[in-house]
Amino acid sequence: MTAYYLILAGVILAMAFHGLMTRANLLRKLMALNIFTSAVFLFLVALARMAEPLDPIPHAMVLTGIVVTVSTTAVGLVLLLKLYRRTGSLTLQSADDD
Amino acid sequence: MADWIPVVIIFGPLLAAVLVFTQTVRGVTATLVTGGILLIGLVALGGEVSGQGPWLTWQPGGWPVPLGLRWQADFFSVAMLAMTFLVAVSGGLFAIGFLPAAMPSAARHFWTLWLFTWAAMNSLLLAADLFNIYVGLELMALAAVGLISLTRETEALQAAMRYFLVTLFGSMLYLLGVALLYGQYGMLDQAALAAVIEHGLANGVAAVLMTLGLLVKTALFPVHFWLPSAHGKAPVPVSALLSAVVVAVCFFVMYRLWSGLFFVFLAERPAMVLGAIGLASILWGGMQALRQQRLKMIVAYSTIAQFGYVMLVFPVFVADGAAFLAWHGTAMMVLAHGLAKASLFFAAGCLSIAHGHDRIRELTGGGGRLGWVWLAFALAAASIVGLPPSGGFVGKWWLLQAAVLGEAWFWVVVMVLAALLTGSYMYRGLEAAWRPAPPVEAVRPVPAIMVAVTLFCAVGSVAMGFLAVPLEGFLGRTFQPLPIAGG
Repeated sequence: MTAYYLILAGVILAMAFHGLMTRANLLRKLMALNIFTSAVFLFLVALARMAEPLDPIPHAMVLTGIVVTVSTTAVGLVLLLKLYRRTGSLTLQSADDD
Repeated sequence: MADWIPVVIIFGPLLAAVLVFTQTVRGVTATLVTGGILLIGLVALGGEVSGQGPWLTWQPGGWPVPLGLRWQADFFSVAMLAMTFLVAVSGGLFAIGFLPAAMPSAARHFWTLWLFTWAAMNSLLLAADLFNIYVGLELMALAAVGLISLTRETEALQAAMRYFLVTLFGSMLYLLGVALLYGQYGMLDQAALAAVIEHGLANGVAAVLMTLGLLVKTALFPVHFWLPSAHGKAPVPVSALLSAVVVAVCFFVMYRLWSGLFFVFLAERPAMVLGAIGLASILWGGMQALRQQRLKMIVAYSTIAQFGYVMLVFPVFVADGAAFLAWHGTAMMVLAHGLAKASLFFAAGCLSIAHGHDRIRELTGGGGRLGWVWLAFALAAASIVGLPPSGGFVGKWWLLQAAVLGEAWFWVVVMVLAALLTGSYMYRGLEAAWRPAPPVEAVRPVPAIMVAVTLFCAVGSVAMGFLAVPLEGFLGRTFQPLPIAGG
């Protein structure tokens, strides 16, 4: 049964990776990054369920990870807002190397 | 063992950062006081490591290893902590002159983020637990993103956003690798894992994912693209910290993984791949540096090339000539590069304040106080290129010797070509200084403290060459198997 969760985590990972690489819109990229993170967490929690007896450490790791992700998302959104107010666009120009 | 040492080294800057942000503590004062306290900690740590080494290990709170986190230090950790200390304090002193001149409004947040980055780097240099490293990487990334975006210019914001996306993606790859390892063994401690890890598909994938995550953060080809804009557009002290230490700390974590946890995988083929990544970074970074019109961008691109050079340690190591010499060379290169790179960015910052820009063509005339700046630039460039007797020379010489002894002729040729390429782009930066200045150009004064700090770091990176013998004595103990993770 838990194998399905592992497979699900893999599918979500692939979708999030696709979104992160192909979307130009920064909000979509940020969301893809969040979904990628969630898939990693799902993977960890599924691993915890498979262990015998139940393993509490992955839960502690995921909780810490969620706190970290909340902070990173906040920073990402602030950056996004500042960029939007300044340029009026939600995409990044390609890196110029002058 | 003195339990207070790692606590002071990690929590000193962390506490100072919180105080600067929440209380009315002046950032400069907090940074310098933290520096003083950390100096005591570092000296004590150096004494303990040389007395009781090669490895010191701590278990905060007394929790045994499978559950508790562990800190560890050997002489390479101490040397990296010392380099971080020097760059963080010099950058702070440089900022005293730089912030009022360049970005007065952002001063308070600068110090908070500066101290947070420092704490994160110290924590990464001491961490033995894979998940602890993940948290350290995230803290360092967030603080660095904040530092890059401080100027609030559009280009800086874009660079910060690009760095943010790339570096967080790198962290996630790393965490995925950690999860795979945890699924196999139910452990997170590097030493405990290293004792039981063996060849296998899941472990191999974990090694690839974690290495890829760290390669992204070290900005090596082909995942280097974020570095030039991030390091080029950031405020000068920030560029120095990012290029000299942050990237080096990411490399350090990778070195730790491959010399401990993944050592069983360090065979010919993976090492060749890592070396090829290094070679591509040398070529790409060097070619781009040759094309740049701005001094700061040359220095930024040279970071990619120099860390490409450092990556050559892996193929040279498996060539099995003199493995110790290869590690020594790498350690020396990373340390000397740190001080030299900080000095180069500081010099570029002094010049851009004096001239109002950093376009190489128009940076002519190196008289007066600017003469000292150019002298520092030349010394630091000599160390990066690897001219004797600088620290950079010693590092590259050791690595080259190891390659010759291992008869890795291909990599010997690569190293010689890399040195020529480095020489060419550094010369391009310097050339303007000895052209006479047009008489009318008005040069704005540069605060003396900035010039002094620039010169200090440059002299340090050269002087490291004279410390080669004692350093080798200490590093001789470095490449030991990881400490036993006992309870």
